[in-house]
Amino acid sequence: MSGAFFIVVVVFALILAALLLWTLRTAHKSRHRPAGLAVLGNAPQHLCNMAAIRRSQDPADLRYVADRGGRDLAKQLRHERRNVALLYLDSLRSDFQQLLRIARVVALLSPEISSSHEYERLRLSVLFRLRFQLVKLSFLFGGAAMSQLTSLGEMVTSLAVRMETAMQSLGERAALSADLALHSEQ
Amino acid sequence: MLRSLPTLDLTLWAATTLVALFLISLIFVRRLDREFPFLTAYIGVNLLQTLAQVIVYQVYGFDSEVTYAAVWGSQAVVILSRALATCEFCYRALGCYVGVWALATRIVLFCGAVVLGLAVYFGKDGFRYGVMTLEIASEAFIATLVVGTFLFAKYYQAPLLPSAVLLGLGLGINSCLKILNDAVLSRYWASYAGMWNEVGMVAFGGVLLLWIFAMRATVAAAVPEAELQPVDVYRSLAPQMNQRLAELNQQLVHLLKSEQPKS
Repeated sequence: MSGAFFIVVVVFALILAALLLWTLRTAHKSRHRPAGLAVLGNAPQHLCNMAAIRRSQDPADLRYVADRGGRDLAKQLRHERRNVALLYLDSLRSDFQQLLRIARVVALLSPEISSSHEYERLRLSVLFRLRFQLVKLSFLFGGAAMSQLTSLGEMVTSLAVRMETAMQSLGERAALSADLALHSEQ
Repeated sequence: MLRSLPTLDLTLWAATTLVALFLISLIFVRRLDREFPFLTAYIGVNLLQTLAQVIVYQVYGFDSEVTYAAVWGSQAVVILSRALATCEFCYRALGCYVGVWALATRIVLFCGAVVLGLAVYFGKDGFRYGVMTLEIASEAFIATLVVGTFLFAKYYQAPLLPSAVLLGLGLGINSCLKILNDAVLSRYWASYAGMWNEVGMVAFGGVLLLWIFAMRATVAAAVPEAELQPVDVYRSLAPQMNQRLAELNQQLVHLLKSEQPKS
């Protein structure tokens, strides 16, 4: 066996063993998570704070404090507002992850799923995570606009609402068809 | 003839055979053979291989060509039956989720076939290590199936029964250890040949113990099947979700490009 092939084989086996243990370790951790459609009960929890967050980030407030309270107070306020924005950003991410979890549960309990949809969602969610970290860094260094953050929050909200509405209407449709089937049998 | 083998080898051989006998007895006593037909067959084939090896060694000795062909030939049957037991594990883990199972089988089998092909192609190293390369490739195929199934289960958060987890863990660990053991033997034949058998038997003994725990954790009663949703739910939600996710990504790009207004 050549040296290169030996190294490749050993690394491959070690990676597989590590992946195996990693999947089992995380599976053990998530054993107490709500299973199945119970996950729908934990709909996004942080989005309701968006209006308050938006108000707290009003640039007029910062100008007012700078005019009346001086530069130091304005600096402190800017710092605290940035912390609030970062916390909000984190909460948006957790809400978004919850939505992705719901999407996975829907796929898990579907009798038919499309590889293209699943691959696309996986790709997009990886991209989302990467870009999210970049945005966070950007906020840390004061480079991103607050208005953009609130519009990001609105998008997550609309996604949550849309999912909930779609699930509700489909549930009603399923109930209606079951009812019709029952009547036709009678 | 067998007496010429080192005492440690004989002891380990006897111990693993006894553990395998205990496991197959446990399966039959608990009537789990119908639930795990391929695992039962694999343990049975393994025991038959042990019996055949004893006879062949006694009749033909260790260095005969007949022994070589018989031992490695039987090893092919053992690996094939383990591959079937692996498929059984995959089905137990994801089989009740029809949609995910259909997707997982295609992707995992494709990845396994690629790994198998690559290992055979790049590992061809003459006749001496040919069987070793084939074994490494087959074990890599099996390990890929197991790890792929666990990854799918993790991604979709499919609940796994403890028996399935232990069964899969045993199959995966067994294959990974066999790959490492065979690779080290192929590379360092002179210094490792004496230890290869012992390492393999100790690893197999540990895996058999895991499977005993798996069988003990199995409840013979039928597991309720997952209640699947109408296919419309997925067909409607999946594209919407992806569309929104793409828009969110676009929004993140805008956010990154935007400037904080000067105040």
